[in-house]
Parts: sequence; C-alpha cells; structure tokens
Amino acid sequence: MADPKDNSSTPKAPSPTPAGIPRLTPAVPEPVDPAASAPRAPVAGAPRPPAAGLPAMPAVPKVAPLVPPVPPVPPVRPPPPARTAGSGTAVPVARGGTPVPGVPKVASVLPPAIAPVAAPAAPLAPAVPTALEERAELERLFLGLDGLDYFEVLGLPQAAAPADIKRAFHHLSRTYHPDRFFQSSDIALRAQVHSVYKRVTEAYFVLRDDARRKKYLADVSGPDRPRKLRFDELAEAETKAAVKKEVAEQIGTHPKGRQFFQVGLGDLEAGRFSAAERNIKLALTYEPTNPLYLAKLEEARAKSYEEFKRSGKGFRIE
Amino acid sequence: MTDDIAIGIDLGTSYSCVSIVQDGVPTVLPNEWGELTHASVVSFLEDGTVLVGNAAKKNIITNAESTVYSTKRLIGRYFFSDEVKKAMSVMPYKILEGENNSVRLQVRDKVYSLPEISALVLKEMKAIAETALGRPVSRAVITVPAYFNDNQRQATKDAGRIAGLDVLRILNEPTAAALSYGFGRDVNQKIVIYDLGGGTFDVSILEIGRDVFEVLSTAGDTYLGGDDFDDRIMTWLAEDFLAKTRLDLRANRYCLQTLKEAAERAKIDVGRHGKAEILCEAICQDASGKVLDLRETLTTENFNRMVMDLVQRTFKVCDEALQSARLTAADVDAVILVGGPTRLPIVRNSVRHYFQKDPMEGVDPDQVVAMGAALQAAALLNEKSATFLVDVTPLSLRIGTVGGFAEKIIEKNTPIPIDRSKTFTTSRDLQEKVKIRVYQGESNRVDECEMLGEFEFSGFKVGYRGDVKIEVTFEINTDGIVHVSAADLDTGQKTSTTISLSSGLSEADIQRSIADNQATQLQHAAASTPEVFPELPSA
Repeated sequence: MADPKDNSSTPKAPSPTPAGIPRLTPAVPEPVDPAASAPRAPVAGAPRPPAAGLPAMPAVPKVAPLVPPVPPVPPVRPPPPARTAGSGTAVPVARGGTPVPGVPKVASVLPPAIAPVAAPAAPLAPAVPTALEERAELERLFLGLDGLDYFEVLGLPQAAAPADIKRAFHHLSRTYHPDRFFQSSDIALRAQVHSVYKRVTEAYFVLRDDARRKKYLADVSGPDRPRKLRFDELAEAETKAAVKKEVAEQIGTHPKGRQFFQVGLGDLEAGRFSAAERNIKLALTYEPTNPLYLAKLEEARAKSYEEFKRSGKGFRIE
Repeated sequence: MTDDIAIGIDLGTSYSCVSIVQDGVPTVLPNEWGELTHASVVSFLEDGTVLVGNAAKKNIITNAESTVYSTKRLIGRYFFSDEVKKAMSVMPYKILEGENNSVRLQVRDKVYSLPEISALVLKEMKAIAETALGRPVSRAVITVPAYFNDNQRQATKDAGRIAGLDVLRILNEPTAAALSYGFGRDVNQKIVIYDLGGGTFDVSILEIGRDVFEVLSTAGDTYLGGDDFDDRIMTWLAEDFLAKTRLDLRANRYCLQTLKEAAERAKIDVGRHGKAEILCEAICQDASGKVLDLRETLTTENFNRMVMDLVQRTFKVCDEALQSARLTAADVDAVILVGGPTRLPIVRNSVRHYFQKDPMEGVDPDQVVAMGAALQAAALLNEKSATFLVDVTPLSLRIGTVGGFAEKIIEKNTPIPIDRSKTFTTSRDLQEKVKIRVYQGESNRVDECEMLGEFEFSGFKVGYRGDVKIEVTFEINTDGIVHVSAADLDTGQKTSTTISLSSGLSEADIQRSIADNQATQLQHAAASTPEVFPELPSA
C-alpha cells in the first residue's frame, strides 16, 4: 500500500505554487485554467512505483495454487466422425407426431431402453460405454426426441423421487453437456448434442418443480398425450391458475375475509377462544362457504365451550 | 502452436485480472512489475499513446478528461438509461449518444464505442498473458456479472472480438468463482457466492455434485458496488468541507477526482486498520487565493454508519436468491466471498451473521474469478475435461404484446441452454411481415423491461389474417446469449437472428474495428513498452 501522504501530495509540485491549484469561489465555481499544467507535471517528472492503489509486489511469478492438479479422467472420447447409424438421414419428426421407423415406440409408460440412464439407482458407477455405443445412443435419442415425454428423456419412471430427477439430470449433463463436444469438428454431432441437451434441461426444469410436475403428469397421462409432450405456455398458465386456486382454497379469496381469519387463527393459538370464534365468524361473512374457515370455526367453538365448562360460569352470551 | 492454450479474463468494473491453467493449476499472470490485478482504466495521452491499467489510473486526476474508467457500468446500456445519466453527471470524460440510442465516449476528438474501450483493456490482458507466457494467445473465456442482460453480454463478446480474441465463452463471475472453489475437490455441497465487485453485486447459489456445477439460482443488483461505498465517503468529505469553508469541491473536476481517489484509499485503510487518515494537501484555493488542505479522520463506526444501508441491500438480493433456489440460509454448506469490497470487515461480519457461517478462507476475492475462467477455458479445450457447468438465465425473457405488455417466454433461473417456441399469427389480411420485440426483465410492462431488440420475419406464405402460423423459437445458449429463429409452419421456411442492437455496433462496425485493431497490433509489436498502446484510429 502506498503511503497516503505520498500519494495525495503527488498532484502538486514540490513547492506548491497557488497557480497550479484549482481556485474555488463560494457561489459560482470558476473553471480551472486549462493551461494549468502543474497538476500534470509531477506524473511525468516523479517516477512512482507502478501500483497506485495496490499492494506493490515484487515480480511474483505464480499465485499459490488454489486447487490440486486435475485428477486423471477416464478416457471418454467423443466418437470419430465416421458415423455408423442412419448416416446423414436426419429424419424430421413431426412435433408430437407418429414414431419414426427405427425409433423405439413410446406408448409404454416406462422408458424405452435408454441405455446410459436406464439404471438411475446406480448412477455413480455406470458402465463406461464405448464411443460407438454412445454415439448410437445419442442418435437414437435425437431422432426420437419429439416422441418422448420428459420422464423418458431423463430415463425415469413417472414415480421418480425428486432426488432421482436431480441425479438423472446430473448424469445426463455428464453425458450430453455441449461443452464435452466443444472441440469436436463434427457439426452434425454437436447439433444433435445441443438439441438433446436442451430437451434435458427443459425436462429437468419442469419436473423439479412440484406444481409443474403434477400438471405435466396429468397432461401426459391423458388422451392428449401426443400434443402435451412438451410443457408449453398454456400448461404453464394452467399450472399457475391451479396453484392460485389451491392457495385461495387454503387461505381464502377475499382480502378482508383473509384478514379476519388470520387474526382469528392468532387468537386461537394464543388461547383466546371466544375472540377467535368471533373473528372467524366475521371472516365467514365474506366467504360463507370456505371449508377451512368452517372447520376452524368448529374448532374455536369447541375449545371455547370447553373453556366455559372449565371456568364453571353459569351462562354465556352468544 | 497457439491452439492448445486459452486464458481466463476477469473484466472488472475497477480491476481486471488474467489467468491461465498450467499443469492443471490455475495461475494468475503478473505483468512486468509483478502486479496481479490491473485497473480497468484507459488513458489517452496527448502524443497519441494509450495507457491501460495501473499506469493509466494515475492519470485519472491529472488527465481527467481523456482518461476513461468504470466503463463496465455503461457497456450494453441505452443512452437514456439511468446509469448513463448518472455517469454523465459524475464522469469527467464526455459521453455522447450514438446510433440506435447507444452510448459513445468522446476522447480527444475521437469517438469510441464502449466495446472498443473494453477491447483496449482486454488487449492489455492479452498482452500481459503473452509477455508472461512468451507466446501468442488468441483464445479466452471472459467473465461478466451474472445479472448482465443479453445486451451487456453481447457487447462484452464484441469487445473480445475487437481485441483480437476468440471468445470461447462468456461466463458468469459467480459461476467462475464456484468452479475455482469446487474444481477437483470432489464434494457434494450447496454453496453461495457473494460477489460484491466495484460496480455490481451478484449472488449465485450452486449445487456442486462432484463434477457437475449446477447453478440453482442467481440474483443481483447491477447498480451496487464498491464505487457506491466510495461515493458515500466522498459525499461526507465534500459536505464537511463545504460546511467548514463554504466551498463545494464537487464543482471542480480536478477536486472531484482527488476526492474520489482519497475516498477509495480511505475505504481500504479503514477496512485494514480500523481508521483512515485522509489528507489532501492543496486540494483547492479559495477566492482570495489561500491554498486549502483537506484533512479528515474516518473511523470504522463512522464508515459503517455511512454504508450500512448498502450492505443491507445485498441481503435483500440474497433473500431473493435463496427463495428462488427454495433453500434457507441454513441449507448452505459454504459461503465464498468475491470482489475487493468483501475484504471490508463490515461486509464479512454481515455475511457471517446472515448465513450463520464463516466465509471460506483461502480464497483470494480479487483473483478467484479469473482463475475460474481459466479453468473453464482449459476445460473447453480439453475433450476429456471433467467439469460441467449448468448455468441459469438471470432474467426472464419476454416478448412485447399489444398494449405495452410483456409476455414471459422463458422464466428467470431456467437452466441453459434451453429453447422455447411460441406460435404467432398475422393480424391483418395479406400481411407480409411480422415484427417481434424481445425484452428481458421481471416486469410485465415493456417500459419497465430492457429491450433486447426487434426482430422482423418476412417471406412466409401470405394469407388471410389468422391463417398464417409462424413458429418463433427463442433460445438461450450456453453463453447466456439469446437467439431467435422463426419458421413458417406451413412452408417450413426459416429465418434466424441473434438480437444485438444495444452496443450499437453492426457486424460491419465490428469488422472495421477488428481491422483497425489488427493495424494497431502491428505497431504495438514494434513498440518496446507493452503497456503503451498506439492510439486506435476512430471507427
């Protein structure tokens, strides 16, 4: 760190001449004489260490390594450009359309044989597939992409646990992340990887969210399955509406009703049962049929009655 | 052979840093004086030479009007944005409006676009790497704040190209820091990167599963950084001086720059020693010609009171990020601090208090990002690499609809790369083209979102209104950059574009800048002092 005193005094010449210092007037600031070269002169004249506001370091060749060296990596190489399966015939699949010949059919709920992800239970020790097998697998996934639902893309059963979804996603990221093929000169291969991986992230984005997953599962289990394989904006909107409805059922739709209900719940918890009963009744005047309110009212009533009985007082006013 | 190496560059608001992986270990490359971080300052001298780095920083005071700094705050922004307006009032250099509402800087009668200025800094980083390694370098990974929008990313990428670099990847700074932390550690952890830089604040939450680095969420504030801390000290100094002498130091640019430098130094001193003595001798003279000094003492208490609200603001952003990741502070396994201002005790203590956890030690907040960028650069060049970054898009992607509304297409914190399609139709009979405006932001009103560009699609089958179906696909690639393509569902005709308007640089402009740059590179090779650049011809 340079000495602050040293730095702050740099702009002026060794013996300060007032001419070189900006002159300020209280009301209107007078522009500094542009010819005033005094502040500039010292920079040229007085050589300083290069680091102005930095720790001046002697020539440090290397920073201490933050991480240990790269561990040896199993040699998984992208396959050579020689293509074996379906060379050059990228069969366009109509969106949500019929399965293309040569592509596994997708009518079953369980995933078709997607080799690398078929065993999500033991993903940490996958049998390292050979380059050719991997390539064939990619090709198959790519061609069948529009016929697969998200569970099939991730290679999971529909009942998969959230942890499995994450595990499958990480596993597929290791296999199909475009960075793995960054240096590959095979443009077709890179395009395929890119498409497949985009679908993987999409599947993960939908399935990791409980509300979206619920909606999606209902969609692909229904009669509209071929059109619902991808979670589109309509599904998104419907999911939002469903969540909103659920919340509304839980805590009410009317702001005033909600307010009284909240106060009533507070009273109930604090043991002020008759106050709770009163507030929940008020909430019910806004939403007379809300089942949650009705249930809580019953609870408050029961507790308030118990309390009354315990207190032994003769009568109470409703 | 130049193909097997690539550098990582942390292009910061105030300081930049360059690193490379050697024998599997990321190393920060020093310049000839052994400095590891370099001021992101460009100074244009009278004789046509251009200084970049710490040498240029010394000129902020003496050569104020032709020394540009903190340009990262302006890159990829529109001329009418608040940030640009603010910069115009405080920056000593001249800011002009260019084509398409872009921002231009005028220095010594020459007009520069912001990518051209950033390119000068990047070129300096490239030169440092080349000198340190003794060989040419042409490929790089450049980092940007996670909360940068598409315009800002595009402009940064353009800067890299102008600097003569093949930009392998635009990487988010917090993600780079996470990579640097988790690389080779073989851990399964949820970590938080708290990145308070010179001009921006980012927080990212990642889940590291061995070799997969999954960003769960990211949030940020592009208007909050260490510069704001300096501003507070400056205001305090200036107000105090005004009260004592009835002179406003902020009225004069020379005084203002002196103040700024003093404030920055005071901030660093107060963080290190708990107290800062501020002394600016002969900062100005009063009307009668009497020379005045500025003397103050800044205590930790005083300083903390000044900046507490800024520190608090960072935790609102942390709240948001945790909520998006559906985590609580207790779920976090490690907290990593990035950026110079995180050295301040007030920041460290507040972070410790918020996460109930000591921040990771042994991580250099100034260098960790560049090292992560170098690791990613090495990983991209190595086919056998074993790290996979799954980043997210920080902002929702939207399209403009009737009535000034913006409809969400891709939600923020969606993992990338991703694409999403939407079908459009024509609104008039015999309509020949459709226009789609693309926005980024969290508001459903277009005027509160950042416009990325306008995209016109024509050449589809002309028909009655509502009959034509155009499927528009929005894609965010691994750089976080948006691509839009459209296809006529009936004819299958396709068109695509990368939206880029904000830097105001067309492809032709960039090509011209690259050509200019190559011309200057030759001169540069002839020059003996690597930190001095010949002046760029104006584009």
